[in-house]
Amino acid sequence: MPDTIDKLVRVRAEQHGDKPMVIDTESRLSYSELDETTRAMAAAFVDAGVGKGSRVGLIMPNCVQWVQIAVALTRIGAVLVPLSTLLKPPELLAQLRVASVQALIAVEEFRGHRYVDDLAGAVDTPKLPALQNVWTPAQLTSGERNIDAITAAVTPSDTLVIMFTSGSSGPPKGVIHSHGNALAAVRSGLTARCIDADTRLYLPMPFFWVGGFGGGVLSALLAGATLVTEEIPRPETTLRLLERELVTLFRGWPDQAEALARQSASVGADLSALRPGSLEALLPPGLRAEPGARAKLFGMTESFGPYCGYPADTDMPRSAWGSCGKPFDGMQVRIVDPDTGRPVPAGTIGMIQLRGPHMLRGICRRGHEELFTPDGFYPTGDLAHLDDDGFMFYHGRSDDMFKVSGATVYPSEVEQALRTIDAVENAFVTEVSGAVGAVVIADSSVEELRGAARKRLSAFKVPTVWLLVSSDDDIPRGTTGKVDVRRLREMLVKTGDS
Amino acid sequence: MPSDSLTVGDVLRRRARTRGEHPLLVCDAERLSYVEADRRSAQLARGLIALGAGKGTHVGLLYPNSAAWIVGVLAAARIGAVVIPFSTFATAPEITAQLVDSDTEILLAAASFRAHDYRERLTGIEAPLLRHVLIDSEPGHRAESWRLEALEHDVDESDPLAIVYTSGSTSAPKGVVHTHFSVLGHQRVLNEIRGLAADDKLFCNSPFFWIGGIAFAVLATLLAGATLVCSNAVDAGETLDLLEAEKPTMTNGFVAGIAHLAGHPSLPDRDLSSMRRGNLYPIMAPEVRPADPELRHTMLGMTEAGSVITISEDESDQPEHRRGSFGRPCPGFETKVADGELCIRGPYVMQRYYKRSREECFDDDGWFHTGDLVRTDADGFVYFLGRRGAMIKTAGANVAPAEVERAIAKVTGGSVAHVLGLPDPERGQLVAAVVALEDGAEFDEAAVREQLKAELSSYKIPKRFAAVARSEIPVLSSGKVDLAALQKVFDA
Repeated sequence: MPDTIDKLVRVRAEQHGDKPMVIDTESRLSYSELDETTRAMAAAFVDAGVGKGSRVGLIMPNCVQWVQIAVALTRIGAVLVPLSTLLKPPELLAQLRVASVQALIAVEEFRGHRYVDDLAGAVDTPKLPALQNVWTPAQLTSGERNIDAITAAVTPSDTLVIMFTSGSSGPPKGVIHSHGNALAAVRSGLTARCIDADTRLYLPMPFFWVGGFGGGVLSALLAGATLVTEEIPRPETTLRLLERELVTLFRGWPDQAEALARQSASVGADLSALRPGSLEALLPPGLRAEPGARAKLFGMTESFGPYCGYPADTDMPRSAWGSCGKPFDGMQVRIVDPDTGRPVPAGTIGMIQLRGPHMLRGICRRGHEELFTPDGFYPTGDLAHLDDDGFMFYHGRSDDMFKVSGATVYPSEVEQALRTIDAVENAFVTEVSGAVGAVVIADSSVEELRGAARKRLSAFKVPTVWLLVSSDDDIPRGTTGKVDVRRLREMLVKTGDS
Repeated sequence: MPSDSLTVGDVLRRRARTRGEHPLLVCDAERLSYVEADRRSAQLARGLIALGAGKGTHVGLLYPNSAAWIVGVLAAARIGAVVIPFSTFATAPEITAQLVDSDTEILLAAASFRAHDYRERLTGIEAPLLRHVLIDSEPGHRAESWRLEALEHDVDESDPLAIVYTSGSTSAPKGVVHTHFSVLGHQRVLNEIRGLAADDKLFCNSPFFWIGGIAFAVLATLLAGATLVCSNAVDAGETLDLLEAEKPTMTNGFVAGIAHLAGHPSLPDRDLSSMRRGNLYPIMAPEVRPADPELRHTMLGMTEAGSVITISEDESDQPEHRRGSFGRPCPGFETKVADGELCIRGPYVMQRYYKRSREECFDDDGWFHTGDLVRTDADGFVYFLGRRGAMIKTAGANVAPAEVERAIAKVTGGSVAHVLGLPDPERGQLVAAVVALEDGAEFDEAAVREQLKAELSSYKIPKRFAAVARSEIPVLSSGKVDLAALQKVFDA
């Protein structure tokens, strides 16, 4: 299997020459066009002094040219540093510094952001010591030189990309992946994600995150599939794009799928090309699965996308419903006691540690010893348990767990137990002044809930502070839809029932 | 950046401040003070920046031990570029192979050294990523000094510092990637153990381009604020003059490399009493020379470990039961012996071999398998038995060449022997020994064979012996003995 971007592009151009590799609302690019245009673009990069190991930032919304620039750079061993189009000027400056970006390619304007203008005072000053060049995509040219000898110098162990995690706390985390580990990680999940050479994959995830770059761009390249994307997803245009391009697999966000499903009748788009494995809301009822029956793919930037799953078109065994499926081949998952670091038996919740050839190679400005255990595991900060069959059940971030009288409480474990109570529609658990607090959407009483919870949980895990609400509208959420734990706690402190 | 940050640039700046005009290097007639090293490397660094170099740029260095070598390493390291030292012995094909493998972009080279004409050797050499070759010259333009300062502050302890090539006695040379921290953190611990301090002068005969030079000599000296003394003189008398004049306090290097000094007729009249610590015993103060070098701890080291793995702070004669000890693991190394092989891990071990993933270099649990077969005693001292591949298998038994070599040295009063396995239809391999003879010396095979019976199990005693003049022993460009060629001694 080809294990550098350059080898992969050459092989795919030979196999699937005329097949479109990537399509956006404006243009399309076949595999052979991808090979030719990126050779010329790469030659111009070399002429401009960009070479193996040069770190090149890219700020651009999803489009065909994003893919071309990324492939041209990485073919010659330059390190791609995808940057979020959402970054505010100080955040952009911080990420450029952390990754020591030497050349920056940025669109002039996107959704009100003017990235190059924002950096005007910092370019060519000690604020950005490494930065030598700033270009707009329109300024990129073609070169004539033959790049074969240069691409041949690139090996799977060379750095492919530095991806920043979307996490908002702490300094920006630039995660380093090699050609070998990134491609192997994506390859390990293709079957579970139902992507093969016949797939026409729609993906709205931004390419600057691993879900877009790995889950979209590299997935299509590795499978020889076609990627369909757009700058700004809007239900009407997205539906037309899905119809026009005969998209077979929709892997967007669940709420996006639901919004599209609501509008599809009025738009009258024909989505009959969609296959199982796509998000449920867009499939005809007969092709949908029962809740919990399909695995929630699970991964992180450090694992270069999902490392755990189950074929997206297949129900898991009943006992595994609600799980994230099983770790993909090549990924070693170890669950350890968060305090001692010792492995725990199956069925016990602990912190996930990961190891293997798909994992990150490092993080900018951090030593290997700071990041990995002496025996090479990466502590993820995620909590889970494995069942006897090896299915993994996620239990939230370790930052969320807390102690009550010395015993560890995992909010997600309590939430899952509460949700099995008939009257409970949903439940959210957090720590309130050293006690277990629960906000519950239920048509019931605290007394009844407490009684039902006692039958399901050890005494120390049973919530002692309760707040009943009538609908999900009462649950405080952030812009991404995640529950705002701080405000949840405030609600419990103010009005909770002890 | 914290003031105790372990990047080469930070250490250099601190030393330039605290050591000022104190010499960092004395190499024959050449002297390089700490401020000069700072000033000259800053100048070269600004030239490199003007060529487009910065963090991660691969800068090759082909110089003999000299101020130019040190200035080159400091210039590259202070801007976060990665140094790739080239061996001065390397032939044109070997240089090309290393330029290609290391992805060298800028090569700094001497025009010539001794009989080597590098200008000629480098003519027509091509490597895909090589953009500039500077022979005894500096870039014509220099970037503004604020750029240098800004790039220096951008260098991190975890950035790669160097790719040092193994000498490859048994396989193709491999590029070993070390970070600023893995080298400097390690040398800080070693300086403590060997007692290398600011008022020391270290005489070293290791080439700078190998790990024992770049790490255990050059950067260790910089870190200590001490002075490094070395010599390229062909005339041993000149080197001895230098040692008498400079009065080094410590020695380090390869004993074989000072044979011409030890054998020089003027030696008995020389005052070398300043050299009291280290391992170049034959030229050290007579009263500190060991009666039997086998009773002193030696050191075990390798490129992958960033120089020394096992060492002892005790430089005195050891009891007989500790004969052949290599000391104990240096703090910071986790060690274990698996199937007789020494395995190491920890922050001073290399990051990986260049162009190979960590998975290809380490086992699942992060151990590096050194290939060195060792045993440890109850006190934790390590004894080297041989290289994994070099183990001789004769009639079902394993024989470690090093063990036999040591026994021969002992019974002959110090003769250097090279022990190897010869193919044999009945036994698989035969134990054979080539003994290196000093000029005019003779070898009494029967006597040695008889004495070895007291030292070695009979299956370990060489079945075949050959005696060859020391100057006739075939040597690779790496300086290591060419075992394949040595085997031919027995073909006749």
